[in-house]
Amino acid sequence: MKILLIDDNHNISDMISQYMRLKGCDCMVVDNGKDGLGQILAKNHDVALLDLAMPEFSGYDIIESLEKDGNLKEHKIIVLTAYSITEAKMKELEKRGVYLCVKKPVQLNELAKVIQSCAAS
Amino acid sequence: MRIGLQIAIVLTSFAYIVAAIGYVLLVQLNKVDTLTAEIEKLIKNSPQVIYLDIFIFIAVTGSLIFFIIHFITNPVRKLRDAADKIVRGDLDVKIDPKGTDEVRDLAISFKAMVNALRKDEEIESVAVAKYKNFYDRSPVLYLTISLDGFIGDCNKSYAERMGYMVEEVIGTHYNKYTAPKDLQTMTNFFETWKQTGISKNIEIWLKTKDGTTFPALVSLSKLNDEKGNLVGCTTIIKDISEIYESRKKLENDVIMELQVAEIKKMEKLKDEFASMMTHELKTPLTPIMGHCEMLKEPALLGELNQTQLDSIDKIYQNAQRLERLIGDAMLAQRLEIGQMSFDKQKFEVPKLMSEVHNDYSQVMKEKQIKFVNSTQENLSIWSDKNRVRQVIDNLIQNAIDFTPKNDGIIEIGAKSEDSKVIFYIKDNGIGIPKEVQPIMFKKFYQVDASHRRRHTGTGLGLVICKGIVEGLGGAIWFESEPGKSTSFYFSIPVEVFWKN
Repeated sequence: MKILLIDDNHNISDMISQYMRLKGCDCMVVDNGKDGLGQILAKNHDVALLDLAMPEFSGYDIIESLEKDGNLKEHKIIVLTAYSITEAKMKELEKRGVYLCVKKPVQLNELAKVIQSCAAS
Repeated sequence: MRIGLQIAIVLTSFAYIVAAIGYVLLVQLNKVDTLTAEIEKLIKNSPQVIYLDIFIFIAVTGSLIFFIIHFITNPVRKLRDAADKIVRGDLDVKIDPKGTDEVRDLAISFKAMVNALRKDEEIESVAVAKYKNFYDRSPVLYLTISLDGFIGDCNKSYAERMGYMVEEVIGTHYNKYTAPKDLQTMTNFFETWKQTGISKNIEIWLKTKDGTTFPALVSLSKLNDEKGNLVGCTTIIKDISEIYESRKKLENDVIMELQVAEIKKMEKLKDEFASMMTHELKTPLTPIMGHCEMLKEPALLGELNQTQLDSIDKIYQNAQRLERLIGDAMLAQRLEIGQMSFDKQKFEVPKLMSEVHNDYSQVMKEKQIKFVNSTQENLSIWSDKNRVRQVIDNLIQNAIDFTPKNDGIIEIGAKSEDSKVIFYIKDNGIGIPKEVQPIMFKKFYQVDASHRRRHTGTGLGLVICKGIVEGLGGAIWFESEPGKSTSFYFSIPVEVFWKN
């Protein structure tokens, strides 16, 4: 299982990647939006974990770029966000092609299950 | 008298002419001497005849003169006197047609003329009265002012508005009726007008007898004498007290609107700051809780003994508590400034209550509390399901905290009433002390200091419940008997309501 983790907060990305690796997955960490977009387009991943709130080029920007080019769904994106995002907004993103929106702080074993089901879909 | 004299002269002349003609005739007839001799004889013999003749002559002339005076001169003179009277303005003259036909006719025509004049005067005085009334009672205040500022006339409205009688006003200076703060302005205005003749409406504050001032619009108009010289002005004053009030109110409204907009802006900034703070505060929780999870998971980061695992548990629980606290604080603030937005949908109440019942059954079993769901009616409502669930969770949490571990019963359910659904959570716990009941829904309230350690709430719980319930259009209340039981109720209005 190859996981692509895009988050500018090293505390969080270190922890999640450590857990994923302990669980036997490959986890590539990217800490900014621009590089993140590039990596997604490179299609080297099974699942991408995307943080929304990033400076300069945010998770939203990435999503919009991917929508323009083609099908958002095929990129297998799971959104992670700590911002007080509304249920409506979450549903809207899921409708647009995000696999699932998960609120931080995220429970690791729950996250693992979600990643499994996303990869399988 | 002249006409009488004239006629007397004419007759006398006539008499002389007749005498002259007679004398001439006599001369022609050579009878002059005889006539003179006869006359001398007559004068000598009987002078009475001469006296009688002279008397007759005077009598006739006198009668003629009297006749003329009575029938012509006097009536005519009376007419002239009447005319004089009329000229002087007195139409109250008595005309008595007398005298000769012509004179009488003249008198009759004269009388008719006087009547016509009287009628005209009546019409005119009615018109004058009417226009004077317009002038006096006009809502506009009028003044006539001389060039040096003294009031020559004013209408009743002006006098009344100022609190004086018309007579008191006339002769005084307009400064007396100008508010002190506008005395200079008024003087400048007057002087400018005198020089330029331009009199735009200006706003001046005037002063009444009792000292109150009011705003008015003043404009000046030229007043000339017969020769066309400027002698003063007509001043037209409109009392704009009401307009002034409305204008002030409008200005205040505008100011208020600006203030409200300002406040809204501040609220928005506060809200954005709070959002950001929430995010910042929650961020470290992810790694804290994540690492706790990893440590707890058996054999992931190495084996740990029970003491260590308990320690990690404490860390994890406190991090959870912190997370809740941050979330509650954010929510409470949003509710306070009315920024809460709800996600409304149609959902079935029994289904929700069953879910709640299921979710808590484990906890209830562990705490040995009898947990009952007494929802019976099949209700559907249109509201924010998650928020309603949040309120129920909060109330159940409170119930668990204050219910005894043995023989504890918690009953939950929902029933319909009018066009509302009433949710209830009842427990048989220690209840709420009377002195504390009034402040249950206030911020950071806790029932009891000794419970504070066990109580996992943030102190914002009930505040948030109230905010959510009221935001959804409902109400929240409770009944509690200290030492016996507590029942919490909240209502949610049914916007779309089905009942099977």
